[in-house]
Amino acid sequence: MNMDGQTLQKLGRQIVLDEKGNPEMLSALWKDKRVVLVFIRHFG
Amino acid sequence: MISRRQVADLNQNMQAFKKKNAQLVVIGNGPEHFITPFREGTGYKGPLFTDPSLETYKILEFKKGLASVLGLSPLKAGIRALGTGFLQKGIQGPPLQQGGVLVVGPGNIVHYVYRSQKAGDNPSVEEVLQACAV
Repeated sequence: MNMDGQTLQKLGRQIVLDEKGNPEMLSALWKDKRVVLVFIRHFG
Repeated sequence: MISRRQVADLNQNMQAFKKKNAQLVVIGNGPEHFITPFREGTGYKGPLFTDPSLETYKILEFKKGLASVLGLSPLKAGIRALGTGFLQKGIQGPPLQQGGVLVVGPGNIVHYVYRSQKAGDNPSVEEVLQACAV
């Protein structure tokens, strides 16, 4: 699907922040469920 | 304005995604204090995160550059967003960065990748829903 396993694993290791600045590892989001990740251009 | 409109559109389809057992997650790239105003502007109450480092955008090879924001169709999309009341309130994030959509999981399985080619280039909700049905 236009992305290899290594790239996905690398992506999964990235840390994102919620509005309070709490860190979340991306792979935790899709560990047990299917997610639709919408990467937006900006918050404007 | 395009981001806000896109998220507001998706927001209206939250139930449809739930029916496919898929959780909508929005990821932006500005400082985290922009998240609350963004929620207020879009009415989006689902999971929302930011990646100020833009590392995820780099890994996903999302486009970045002037050519991707110039041109007629981003302008048209901008006017359309303006017409529906989604005003861009200043740029909060790198203005030349493009986004995209990824459907993943459960586990390390990618079902769908969409890389926006220019501003206003987003997949249709139907297309993303279809990817969730796999």
